[in-house]
Amino acid sequence: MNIDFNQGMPRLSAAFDSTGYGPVTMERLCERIAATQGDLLEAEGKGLFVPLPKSKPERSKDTSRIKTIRNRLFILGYLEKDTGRGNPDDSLKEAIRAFQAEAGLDIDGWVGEQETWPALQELVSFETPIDLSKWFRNDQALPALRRAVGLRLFVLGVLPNRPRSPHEALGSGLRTFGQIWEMLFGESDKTEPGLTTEWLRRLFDMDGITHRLSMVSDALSRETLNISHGFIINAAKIELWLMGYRVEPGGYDMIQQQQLPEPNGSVELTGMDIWMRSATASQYHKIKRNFKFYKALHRFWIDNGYDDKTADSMSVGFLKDFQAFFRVVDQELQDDASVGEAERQIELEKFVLKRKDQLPAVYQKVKGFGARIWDGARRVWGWFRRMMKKVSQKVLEIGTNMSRIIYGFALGSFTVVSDVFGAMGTMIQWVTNPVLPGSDKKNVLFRRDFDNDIYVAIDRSAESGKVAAGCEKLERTAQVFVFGCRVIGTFVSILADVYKTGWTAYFGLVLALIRIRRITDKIRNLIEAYQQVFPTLYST
Amino acid sequence: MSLKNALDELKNAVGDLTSLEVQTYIGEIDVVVEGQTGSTSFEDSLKKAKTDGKITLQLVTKLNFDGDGIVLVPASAPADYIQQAHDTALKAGNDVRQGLIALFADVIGLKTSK
Repeated sequence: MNIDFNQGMPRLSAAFDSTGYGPVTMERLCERIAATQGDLLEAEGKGLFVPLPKSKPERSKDTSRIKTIRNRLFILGYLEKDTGRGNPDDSLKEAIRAFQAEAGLDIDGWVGEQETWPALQELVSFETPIDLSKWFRNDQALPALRRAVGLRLFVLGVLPNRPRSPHEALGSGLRTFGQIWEMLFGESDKTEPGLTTEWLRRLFDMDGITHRLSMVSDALSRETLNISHGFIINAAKIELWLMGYRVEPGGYDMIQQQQLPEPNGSVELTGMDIWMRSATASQYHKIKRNFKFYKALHRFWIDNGYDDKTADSMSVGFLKDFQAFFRVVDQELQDDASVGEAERQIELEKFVLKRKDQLPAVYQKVKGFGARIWDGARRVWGWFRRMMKKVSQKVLEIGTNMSRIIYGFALGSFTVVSDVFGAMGTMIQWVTNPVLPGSDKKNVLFRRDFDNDIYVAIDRSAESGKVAAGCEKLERTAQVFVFGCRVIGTFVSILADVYKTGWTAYFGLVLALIRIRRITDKIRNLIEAYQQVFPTLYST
Repeated sequence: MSLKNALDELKNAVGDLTSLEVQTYIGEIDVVVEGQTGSTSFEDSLKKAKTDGKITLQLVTKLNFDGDGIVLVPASAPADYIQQAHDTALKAGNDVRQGLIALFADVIGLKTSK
């Protein structure tokens, strides 16, 4: 994807140029709003930002999201292989249908924002909280949840393989998880580990696992470590992956022994021995060369300001003080919880303004994001803050993680803003129609005249409850309209400010999207509230 | 409805933003409801219904956005739901005007948001 950030937004540029000093008229207002929406649609068409379509997967140009959907269905066992294709082919649609059937969702073969995407996020993402009440029917776990439990046990190093079907036995894996939990965290529980909400809540709470690992007592017995080291290492791998380091979750078998041949013969070491730094110098070399986990850990400690030698020691001897690693991550998560969108926006805007020439790198890296665009957002912000404080803010470039932050941040705003623009037509129709919402033929009529004055006619035999319901609808409609005006007005105003400072074209758009992010959470909450009242608003 | 079409409608629909008048009537609503779709205009239909005694004016409020306002207070207080409908229409009309004025301010640059 090649995006020229010095081009784009032609309609809005023309509207600003042609009407910059003209009179304040309705014509100018409408011209600018239409120009902005036209440019947003064009930006989407060119692939600058591509929200997931609400239906019709064939229209999606978001190859990254489709690849993520494909990969997630593969790791849950709905696809035999992950082809990595970015188009929604028949096998993907079939897998989506199978997932929807097992997840108790409407079966339409498409992953929309409303239902199927959030369901996939809950089951697979490490940062999206899971609402377990949705995943049980008559006290029985839905098949999709069973697969997700198997997957979670696998990536945490408790089960040796990824799930292939919802019928695989999970009992032994959950019992092992329960045993590790009790040994490491000392939290005994009267309930037997199994497919219960109590145990699944622990299993799916990655933040909670990390927090508990950061608090584990130093004096673990060899027996405890022997059973739990695969879990600890895999939890660290998940955290490293979420923070953007080059390591994949899962794949570390805690039972299997590692063969590390020496010149004088074969020395057999357990996985635990390796990460306890019980190996010889030559074995360390092999670890460094062959283990992505070591490389990622080493990079992590370097990024935290440690010198190469210390980082090496802390990485090879990871199990000697794994708590140190989890303490850093846990602290970043806690710090991140206290940072608002406005602060993030200011930090990111400063960064982007200093590195305008590097912005195209974001789009060169989009293809490599995979699922990490949609997972690890909170952790990658922790990484960003760490980089800015501890290491090399002058040399920090727009690499993969910065691309994740910039793209994810701006895409979030883009999705919200384009949603509101998309719904504005309906909102305007409501308030410009002579018969206003809330009217009905038998009880109350709200009628607008050509001058926007309002006549209210109430039937002599009207039911007061029906009149009250009509009033509520009219009031909410007006609120929705005002809200739409606020969002659109604020966004165009921010764009105008950005343009005034000389940042135009797509660079100006990205900057405006970052800038409006400080209020997008508020906007998103309002959209959700209004969607409940007007379910058709955002489908038009 | 597409935004472009809606904006065209908005251009025609937004007339006077300097005042807002709300009139609330009680009576046979079907007379004025039918008046909307017939060949006669709503205003003619309303006028005729008033003349025929089929609806009667209960409440009037006029707001001028330079700060003046007129409120017609009926001799006896109307039922709560009638007052509610009147107040709701007034608030909705006012909100829509405020929304449009804010939109003008933001989009055409009567102010900038820093």
